[in-house]
Amino acid sequence: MLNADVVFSLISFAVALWYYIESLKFPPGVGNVPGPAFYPQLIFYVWVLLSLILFISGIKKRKTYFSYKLSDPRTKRGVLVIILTFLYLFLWGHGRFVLNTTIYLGIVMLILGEKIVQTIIASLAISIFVYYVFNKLFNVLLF
Amino acid sequence: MDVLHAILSIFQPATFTYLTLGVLLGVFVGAMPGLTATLAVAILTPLTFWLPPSQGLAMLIGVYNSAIFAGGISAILINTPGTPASIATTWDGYTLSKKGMAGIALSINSIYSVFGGLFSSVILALISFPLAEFALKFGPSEYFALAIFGLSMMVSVSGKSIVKGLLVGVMGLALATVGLDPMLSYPRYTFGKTELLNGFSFIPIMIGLFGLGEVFFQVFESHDVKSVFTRTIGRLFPTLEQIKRMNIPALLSAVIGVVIGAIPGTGGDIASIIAWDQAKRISKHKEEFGKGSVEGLAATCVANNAVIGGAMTTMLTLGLPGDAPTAVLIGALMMYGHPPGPALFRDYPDFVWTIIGLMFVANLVILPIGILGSRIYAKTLTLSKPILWSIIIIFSIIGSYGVNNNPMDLWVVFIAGVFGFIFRKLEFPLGPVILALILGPMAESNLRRALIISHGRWSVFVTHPISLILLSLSALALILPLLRRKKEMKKNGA
Repeated sequence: MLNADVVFSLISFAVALWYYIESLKFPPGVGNVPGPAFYPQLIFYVWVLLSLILFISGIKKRKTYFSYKLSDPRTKRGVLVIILTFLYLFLWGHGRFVLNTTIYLGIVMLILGEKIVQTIIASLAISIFVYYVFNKLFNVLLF
Repeated sequence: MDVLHAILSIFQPATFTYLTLGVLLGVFVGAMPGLTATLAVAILTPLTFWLPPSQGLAMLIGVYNSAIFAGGISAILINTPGTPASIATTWDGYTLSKKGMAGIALSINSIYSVFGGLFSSVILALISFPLAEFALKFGPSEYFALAIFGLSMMVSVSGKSIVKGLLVGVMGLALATVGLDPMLSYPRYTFGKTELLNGFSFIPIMIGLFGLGEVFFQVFESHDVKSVFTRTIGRLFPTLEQIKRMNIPALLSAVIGVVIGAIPGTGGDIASIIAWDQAKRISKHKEEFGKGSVEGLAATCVANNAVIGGAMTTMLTLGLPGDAPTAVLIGALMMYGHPPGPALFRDYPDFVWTIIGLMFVANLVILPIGILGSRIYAKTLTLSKPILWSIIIIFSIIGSYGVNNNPMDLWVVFIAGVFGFIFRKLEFPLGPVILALILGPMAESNLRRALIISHGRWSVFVTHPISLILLSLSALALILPLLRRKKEMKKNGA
């Protein structure tokens, strides 16, 4: 089992380090005018300090937060909903909005355990409602 | 003249219609467990983008006020607070409901929530203009200190772990540096992408963290996805005797709510718990508290709604979010081109009066809707979770995209949603991220400005009395909770 706080603090430290290295590429300040790197570098020092504190407390507490098993139906449906949302966004702009959205919402509802008739009615109604409200009423560019 | 203009604009048919619509939507969202006032305001903000500011704000203020009130409905009926602000409402509200007095509990929730809202609106009207006039004297060092003071509230919204709250807050500060540098317009962390020159849009991140992230979390965690509820609510109004008993605790709670609401980073949950505790202290019927006390229920309902006026005062005058929904409202005001702060009072006083007026009218609209609709609200709780979650997902996605019609925002909301889920699972609070995204740019630009003016001397922050006071308060806000936590740990260990 992963000690989540320790893992998170290490990732956080790595990102902070990258954030600092990137800031070294910014031009320096002139005279009394602090440059663009000044503030990000201040953030970096606090970031590293907090990552270190979390790392130490994580080692002391040894707490595991993620105890999901893929065989658990809740984990399966959670992962599927995230993957489906990713696919829905990936296909954004291809096909027709109402059709894509109805299919996406329909599958999500079925995965979550909704009955088939309610799923068909609700997914179609929500898609059409969203399309008309956002596209026709508020001029949001949908496809 | 400004006041008259504001009153006229509120009672224009379109504005009043949007306000009522907002109140109705807020009731729906607030009564739904898991849907918060913050989420409702966040989702509706991009929807109101195309409306004139007064109409858009009418809808948002309607939603904000009514969602807090409606959070008490599910707290009373099913022992599940609709919003975090209604946590304490469950203690006496649900017990009253179990005793067959749900009707009385629901009407107390309506009447006293409105009282709390109106009381705090009066305070907003009385003190916001003088406070804003004072804030006009602020220079860069004062604004930097003010931003630090707001950021120090990360501690109070950090919940169980202060370190985790501060860490995600710092990450939020880092995220806020993406885009053009505020002083020299140098592109930072943009990787040559023009879409990133303006930085990340605040709204998709917020909707992702709170809306999408919440749904992902509930999908992973919920055992029972079928939510069906039925309960008869019985008689609707409290007796005269009960009303007499509730008056003093209500007044006390209104004051508590306004004061707590005015402190940046707090909220209705804290206010209602403190108000309930104080009402118990002064009550002659202490033994009833937690077992169906009408005084306890009234105290919580008043306090969590009185928070709104307090939070709005801080938000409008200083540009600091009093609580989570006002943090989102700052984004909305920026979107309308009226960023909150003292300059708003100087440049657009009629707009400020419109907001104050909308607060009054929103509460007056809530009263009949709250009392007459009690039976109907109980029915809305029967909506199944799969449909409800699907509605939130699609509104979060399209709402985020709709602000700028920018496909990149679709990915921002999705990634923020995944992080929102991970943060919730790892017990990282989300409030500090929002505080950092709002206050980070303000802190940076004013820090650098102050250093330029003072020729690089850091002493500028302690030689100016206002900034010195604010920085001292910030230090206290950071240190005191740590000392308190240490004391508690010692006590528990002993």
